[in-house]
Amino acid sequence: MSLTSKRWGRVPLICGTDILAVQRLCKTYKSGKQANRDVSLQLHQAELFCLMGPNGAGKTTFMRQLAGLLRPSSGDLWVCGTHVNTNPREAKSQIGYQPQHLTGLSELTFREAVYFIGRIRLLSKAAIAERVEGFAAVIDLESVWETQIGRLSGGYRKILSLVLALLPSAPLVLLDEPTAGLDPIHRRKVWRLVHQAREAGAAVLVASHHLDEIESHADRYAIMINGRWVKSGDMANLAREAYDNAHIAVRIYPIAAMGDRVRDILNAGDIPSQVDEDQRCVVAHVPRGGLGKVMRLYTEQMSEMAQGITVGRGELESYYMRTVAEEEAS
Amino acid sequence: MTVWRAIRDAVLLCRVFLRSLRFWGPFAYVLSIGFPVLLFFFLVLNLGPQATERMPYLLSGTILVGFINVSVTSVGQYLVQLRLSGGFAVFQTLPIRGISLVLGVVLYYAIMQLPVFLVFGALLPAFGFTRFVNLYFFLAVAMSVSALIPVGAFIGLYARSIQQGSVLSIAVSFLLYMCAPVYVSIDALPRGLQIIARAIPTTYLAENLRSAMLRAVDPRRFATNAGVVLLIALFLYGLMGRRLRMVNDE
Repeated sequence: MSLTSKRWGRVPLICGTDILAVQRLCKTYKSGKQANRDVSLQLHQAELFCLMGPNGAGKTTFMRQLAGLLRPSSGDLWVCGTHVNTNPREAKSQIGYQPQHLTGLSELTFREAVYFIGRIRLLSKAAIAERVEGFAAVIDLESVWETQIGRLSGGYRKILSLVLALLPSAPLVLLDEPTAGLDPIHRRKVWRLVHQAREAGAAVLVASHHLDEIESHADRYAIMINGRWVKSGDMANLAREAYDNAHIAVRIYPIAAMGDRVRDILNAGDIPSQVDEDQRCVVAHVPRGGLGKVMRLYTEQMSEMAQGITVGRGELESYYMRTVAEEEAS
Repeated sequence: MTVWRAIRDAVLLCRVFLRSLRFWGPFAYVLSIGFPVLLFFFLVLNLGPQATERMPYLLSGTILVGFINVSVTSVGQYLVQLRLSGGFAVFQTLPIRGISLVLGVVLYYAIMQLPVFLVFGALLPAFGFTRFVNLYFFLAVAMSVSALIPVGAFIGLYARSIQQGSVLSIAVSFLLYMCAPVYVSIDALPRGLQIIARAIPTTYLAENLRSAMLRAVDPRRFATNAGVVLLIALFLYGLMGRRLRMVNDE
């Protein structure tokens, strides 16, 4: 059974293509901690924006302000033309928000939570059933449908909070670490649901630590450190931003303890490389014309010491690590 | 339209809260039915022959104690638990008004109090109160429920920890029936206690409930008592509304 756009529902086009506008947003907590500084952002219809940053960088604070849960210290927020600062309730009707952790509602069953939140969101019973059918086509909900939320596994609580966020077909969907704690199969399913929301016209903002997922799914990205954007841009241009588009990342995965030998072979072939920090792989940034040489070395000299090679993946991760390290050093 | 939406949300939220009876139910109903009924028979047994003479006080007093147990003790403990375990966070993400959440809680506890009302309603004729059902009686009951809920809610919303909320709600419940003339007339209290009793809503609620059950209502006195209780309740509802903000200002 596949999702149809009818079952999924269309996001109401009441706000042109600009769904979210953030202008110079700052948040200083009463404790004096500055969580967000001068953050500006525009999100358009059917756009998937991913937000990265180390723990405590201010991502959740930023999301909570967008969701109308936390009052900004200064700056302005608009969702579909509604000023969130002054009219948070109306703004909330345009937002589907998945918090990092779902708390409360623990006495309700999965079904009851979906039903009540749907009704509060002004969906009819038929519309709720239709939406649920759509979700169930992607993720197995039947096994947990009558389970009390307090007894759900952490993964299914995460899925429930995603379902509640996607239920109203809101123009803006905010997902705070939607795949944290999920197994790889469910992570894929969650991304399918996220893409379906985007295809229906929603602007989706995802905060995540899974850089491989961001690399595969995002249209645009931003790295937040100490409450401010330090890097942002289009995913398609990431390679150019990171390596002038002239080089490509090659990762060779050595058999245990062979990392140094793989690196030495590459270095001897005039391909500068290094073993990555957690000793998982040897990374080389190779000019695009030099890929053949790496492949030759790999097949001829590393057959006994390497178990795999990837080309062009993981650029975001090294870019991210470098950005965070530079920022910490400064 | 706005009012209709707020009421509609309150009813839905009340239905959400009612699901919590799966966990709180047995505790809440033992507290709201078992405790007052046992207390009533305990007092009847201890008073012996005087019990018949004092029956209006005993019955109205134990009805009120039942309401206090649910409205103050249960509401206080439930709300502090809900608030500090992050339960409000889910509701804050929804496009609802704070007043709907307050009304939802009030409705929920009003429904929770029905058993006390029904059990004592069934008991009253057995003790000679055959004509207690009158407009004033219902007014007094409604006033008691709606005036006591914000006391519990105030504790639940302002306590800084679950333990503090628990202890405070029990302590305040005791204060409400130990320092007020729930089982006696106010003149029977020691002079010092009479002054304290004047500041406690249960004093006025008990007097109204008693006079309604005896069909001896002085409308002016009844209205004055209701006015005092209304003022206290409005003040507490205001504080409740302030605390139940849908946007945090951390």
